[in-house]
Amino acid sequence: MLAGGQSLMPLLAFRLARPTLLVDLNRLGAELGGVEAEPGGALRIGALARQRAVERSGALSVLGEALALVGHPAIRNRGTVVGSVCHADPAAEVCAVALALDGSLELRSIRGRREVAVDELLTGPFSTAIEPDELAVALRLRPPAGWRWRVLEVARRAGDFALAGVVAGVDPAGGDARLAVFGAAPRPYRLDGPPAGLAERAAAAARPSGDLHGGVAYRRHLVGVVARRALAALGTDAA
Amino acid sequence: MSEVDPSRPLVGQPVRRVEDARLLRGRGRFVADLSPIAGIHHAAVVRSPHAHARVGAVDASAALALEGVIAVVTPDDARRLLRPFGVGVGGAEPYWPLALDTARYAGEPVAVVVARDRYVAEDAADLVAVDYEPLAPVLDVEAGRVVSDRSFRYGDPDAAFAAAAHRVEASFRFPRYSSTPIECYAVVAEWDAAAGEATVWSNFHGPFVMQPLIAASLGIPENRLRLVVPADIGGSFGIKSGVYAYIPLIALASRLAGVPVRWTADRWEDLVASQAGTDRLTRAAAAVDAEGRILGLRLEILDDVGAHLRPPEPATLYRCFGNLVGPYAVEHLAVEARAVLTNRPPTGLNRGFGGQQLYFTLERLVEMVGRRVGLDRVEVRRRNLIPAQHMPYRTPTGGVYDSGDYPALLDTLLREGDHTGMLAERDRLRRAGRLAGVGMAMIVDPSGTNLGYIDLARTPEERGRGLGKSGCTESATLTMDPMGGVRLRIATAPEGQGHETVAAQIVADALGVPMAAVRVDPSIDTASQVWNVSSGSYSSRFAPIVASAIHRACAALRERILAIAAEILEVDAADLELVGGGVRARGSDRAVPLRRVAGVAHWDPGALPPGVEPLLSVTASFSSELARSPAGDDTVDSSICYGGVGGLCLVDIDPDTCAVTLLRYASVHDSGRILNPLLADGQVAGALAHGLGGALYEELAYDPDGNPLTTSFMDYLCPTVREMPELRIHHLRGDTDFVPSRAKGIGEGTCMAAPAAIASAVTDALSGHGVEVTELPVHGGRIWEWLHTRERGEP
Ligand SMILES: Cc1cc2nc3c(=O)[nH]c(=O)nc-3n(C[C@H](O)[C@H](O)[C@H](O)COP(=O)(O)OP(=O)(O)OC[C@H]3O[C@@H](n4cnc5c(N)ncnc54)[C@H](O)[C@@H]3O)c2cc1C
Repeated sequence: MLAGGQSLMPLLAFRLARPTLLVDLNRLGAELGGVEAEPGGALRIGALARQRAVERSGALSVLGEALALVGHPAIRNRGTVVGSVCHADPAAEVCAVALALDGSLELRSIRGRREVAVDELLTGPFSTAIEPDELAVALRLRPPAGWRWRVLEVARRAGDFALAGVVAGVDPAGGDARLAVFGAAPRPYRLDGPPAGLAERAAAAARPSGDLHGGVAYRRHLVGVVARRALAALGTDAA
Repeated sequence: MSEVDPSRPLVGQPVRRVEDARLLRGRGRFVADLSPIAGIHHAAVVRSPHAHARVGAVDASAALALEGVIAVVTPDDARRLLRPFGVGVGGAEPYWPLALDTARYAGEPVAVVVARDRYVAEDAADLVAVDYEPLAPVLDVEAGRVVSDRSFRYGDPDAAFAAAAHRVEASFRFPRYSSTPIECYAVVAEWDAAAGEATVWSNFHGPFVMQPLIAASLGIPENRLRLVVPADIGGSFGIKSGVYAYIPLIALASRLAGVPVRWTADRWEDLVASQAGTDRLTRAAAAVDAEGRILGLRLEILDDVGAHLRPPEPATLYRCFGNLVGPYAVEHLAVEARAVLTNRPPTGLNRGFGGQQLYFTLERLVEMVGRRVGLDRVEVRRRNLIPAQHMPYRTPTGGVYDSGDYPALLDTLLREGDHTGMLAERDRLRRAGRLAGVGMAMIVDPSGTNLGYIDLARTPEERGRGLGKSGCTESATLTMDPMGGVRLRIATAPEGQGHETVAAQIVADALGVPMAAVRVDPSIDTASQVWNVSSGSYSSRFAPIVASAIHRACAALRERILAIAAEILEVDAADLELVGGGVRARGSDRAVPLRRVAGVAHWDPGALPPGVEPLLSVTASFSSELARSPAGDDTVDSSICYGGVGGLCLVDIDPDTCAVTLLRYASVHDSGRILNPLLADGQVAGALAHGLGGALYEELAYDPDGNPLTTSFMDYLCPTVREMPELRIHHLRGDTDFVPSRAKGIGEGTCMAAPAAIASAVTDALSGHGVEVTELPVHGGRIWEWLHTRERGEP
C-alpha cells in the first residue's frame, strides 16, 4: 500500500522493500481522507488524512503537538497519520499517541472488517498484525475526557526521529497519569498510574538500542528526563 | 538590504545574482539535464560490501543475461584497458579506479554494469557475482600504513622547547565529514572508437590538473580527452573534485558497451564512495614562556586518507603549510606530517581543506596555553598575534601574509561580535541552571592556492631531480561582438558561488557597460577554450586569482578598444574613457558608441589604425610570482593571499539531556576588498553551516568492521536552517596589493574557524566538569558519556 510514501518510497529507493504488487491509495482521498469526531468522544482519522492537515485541523491538540515533531512540513504534507501507524517505526510519535489514547486501527479486506487495538497491532519494530491483504481504513483514538497532554522528545536536530520521547497525560484531578514512550524500545510502551514514580518506571522499562547518536545508557536516561519534564509541565509533582 | 547604485562602480555593491532567475525557477541545467548525445545508456556501479577483501572471480554472466544489459566492466577489463592514476609520492601503490584484486573500502567499485536504464542496471548490478574473501580491515589511523612521511623543522624548535617555562600538550582528533552537495557525482562519457578519443560531460570542477591524469588513465593523449562541464553544478564545496576518479571507469564502460554511458550517483553512493574531508589525529605541543607567549610548536599530524592515496592527497597535510602558525608569531616549529592508509573511502578536497583540521588543534591548544599561564582566551591570543606593522609577514614555513591587522581584528570581533553581551547571556543562562559557554577562534584564511605546496610531500632531494611544481594560473577570454556586446569565458566551473554575477560586475565596471551587456560563461570545454592545470574552483581562488585574470583581460581589451576609438575620435587614447556604453574624450562630449568601435574591428578592419589586431578578443592570464615551488629548506608560500577571520559564539547545553545548541555566532573578516557583499555574506553563512555541521552534527561513521553507518541523511546529519544560530557578520574591508583584484577569498574561513570556536564554547560550558573538547563532533550522547565516565571516576 502506498499512502504518503514518506517511509515507503525511501525503502523502495534503497531496494529494502521489493513488493511484487503496489496499491496506490492516493486517488481515494474522498473516501479515506476524512477526520470525524464520533459520538462518545472518539476521533476517527481516515487512511488518507495527511499529517499536516490533521495537525492544522486542531481536531485533537495532543495529536497536533505530536505531529509538529514529525519530520518537517514538506513530509507532513504527504505523510499520513494512518500510514505512520502501519509503518510502526519504534520512534514514531503518532504510534505513541495512538497507544496513549487507546487507539485502534480499522482494517478491511475482502474477508471482512476488523478493529485491532494499537497495543496488539504493534508487534515490533516496523512490524504489525496487519495481514498482507488488509487495508487500514482509519485510526480511531479515544481521548479520555478532561485529560491534559504533553508531548516531549529529544532529537539531535529539529525534525529527526527521537532519541527518546514521551506522550504524557494526567487526568483532571491529577491523580492518574499515562505515559507512552517512543524511540526507546522495539515498540512504544505505555505506563499508567499515579504520577509519582512513573518517570522512573518509564526509564526502567526502556529497552533502547544504541547507535552513533546515543548509547543505551544515555537513551534510557533521556526517557527519565523527558518523562519527568512532561509530567512536571502538566503540573504534577512527579519530579 | 541596501540598494545598488548604478552610477557607482558595481564592484563592492550588493548586486543580486544573475544565476538566481534560472536556479530558482528550476531552469538550471545540470549534467542530469543534459542529453548531449544520442543513445545514452545507464551505468550502475557494483561496490564491495566489505571494507577489506580479496576480490576473486567476477562472474557477470547472470547480469549480462538480463534483458536490457549490454555490458559489464570487470576488473580484468580495467587491468587490460586502463592505467592506474599516477600517485605523487613514493610510498603508495598505484591507484586504480576499480578494485582489481583487493577491495579496500566498503563501497569501492568492483564492476560497472551498463544497461538501457538505471533500473535495469541496478537489477543487473545485484546479479554480478563476486568472489570475496574478507580480510581484516584497518580502521585505526595509528595502526594504518604510513604512505607519506615527512619531517620538517623551521627555526630551532629544540631550543624553543628547552627555553620554555611551560610545555602544553594534547592530542586532537578532527572527524571525517563531507559537504554533501545536493547534486551528486554525474558523468556522461562517450568513447569514440574510430578516433580513439573520449568526450566526457561531468560536474568535475577542477583542479584541472586531473585532466592529464584522466587521459593517462585512459591511455590517450590529453588532446584526445575532451572534458565538458556545464555552467550549473549543484554544489560541491570540494567534494565533487573526486568525480574525476570515476571518469575513466565510465569512459571505459562506454568503450566496452559501444554506446555513450551515463552514471549519476545517488545519495547512498555519495555518502559511501565519493570523497570526504580527511580525518586527522594531531599530537601537539607548545613551548610557552612565562608570559604566555608561544615560542615553538611541535605538531605530529596523522591524516587518515582512507583506502588509497588518491591524488591530490596527501594535499590536506600541506594546503595550510604557509599558514601553519595561523595568526600567531610563532617562530620555531617541528612538524611530522604523515598520510596513513585505512580501510575507509578516499579523502580529498572539502571546504576549508586542511584549515579546519589545523585550526581545531591550534586554537584548542592556544586556549590550553592560556589556562596554563592564567590568561583568558582573549589575552592569550592578543599576546601572540602578529603585529600589524610586521605585514607583509613571512611565516617560518614560508607563507607571506600579504596584509592584515590581527590585533584590530580581535578588537573588532569582540566589539562587533558583542563579546560582553554574549558573556552576560552566558551568565544569565548559567544562573537559570543551564550549561552555557562562550568560545572564540582566530584564524588565517588562505586563498588562491599555489599548487606547488603539494610538492612538500617529496623531499628536497626528490624535488631537485624532476620538474618543479608551482602555480595558481587562471585566464579569462573576453570578446566583443560586432554589436558591442561582451562575452567573457572563464574556466572556473562554479558550483553555485555566483561567478557569473561577480565577473559581470568587474567587466561592466572596466568597460563602462551595463551588466546586462555582459554575458559570462563559466562552463568548461577543454577542447575549445583556454584553460590550464590550475583552472577550476577550489581554494577560494575566484576573488584573488580569477578576478585578477578578468581584470587583466579587461585591461587588454580596453587598450584595443581605445586604440580604435582614438583613431575614430582623433583623440589621444590616453585621454579617452569608457563610460555609458561608449568611448568618450575625457571632459568633453566627443564620444563614440562601443558598437561603432566594435563595428570597425569586425566589419571594416581595413580602417584599423596600424598595429591594432583585427580581433576584439583577448585572453589574459594572472599568475602570482609568489607561486613558487617549495624551496630547498621546505618553505613554501602555499597561498597567494591570507585573510584574517575571527569567530565568537555562544552555546547552550541542556544539563539533563546534554543537547548542545549554538545560539549565537559572530564572524568577522578581513578579506581585502569585498567584490559583492551580498555574495560574501552568503558564503559566510554557508561556511558557518558547514563548520557547525563538523562541530556538532556531521560525521562519516563506520562500524568496527568498516561498514559505513551514515548511508543516508537519516544518520548523516547536516544542520538545517533550524540549527543555524543568530549570525552576525562584519567585514573589516582591508586591502591587498598582492593581486590586481585586491580581494581575498572568503568562502572557507568561517568553516575553518567555527569548529574550533564551537569547541571552545563547549569547553567553557563544561568548565565546571573538567572537560576539554579535543574531538568532534560534540553532541548530547557524547557529552553525557564524558560527564558520566568522569562521575564514575574513569579516565
Ligand atoms: C525526512 C523524514 C523525516 C521523518 N521524520 C519522522 C518523525 O520524526 N517521526 C515520524 O513518526 N515519522 C517521520 N517520518 C515518516 C513519516 O511520518 C511517514 O509519513 C510515516 O511514517 C508513514 O506514512 P506515509 O503515509 O508516508 O506511509 P507510506 O510511506 O506510504 O507507507 C508506509 C508503510 O505503511 C503501509 N501503509 C500505509 N498506509 C497504509 C494503509 N492505509 N493500510 C495498510 N498499510 C498501509 C505501507 O504499505 C508501508 O509499508 C519522516 C519521514 C521523512 C522522509
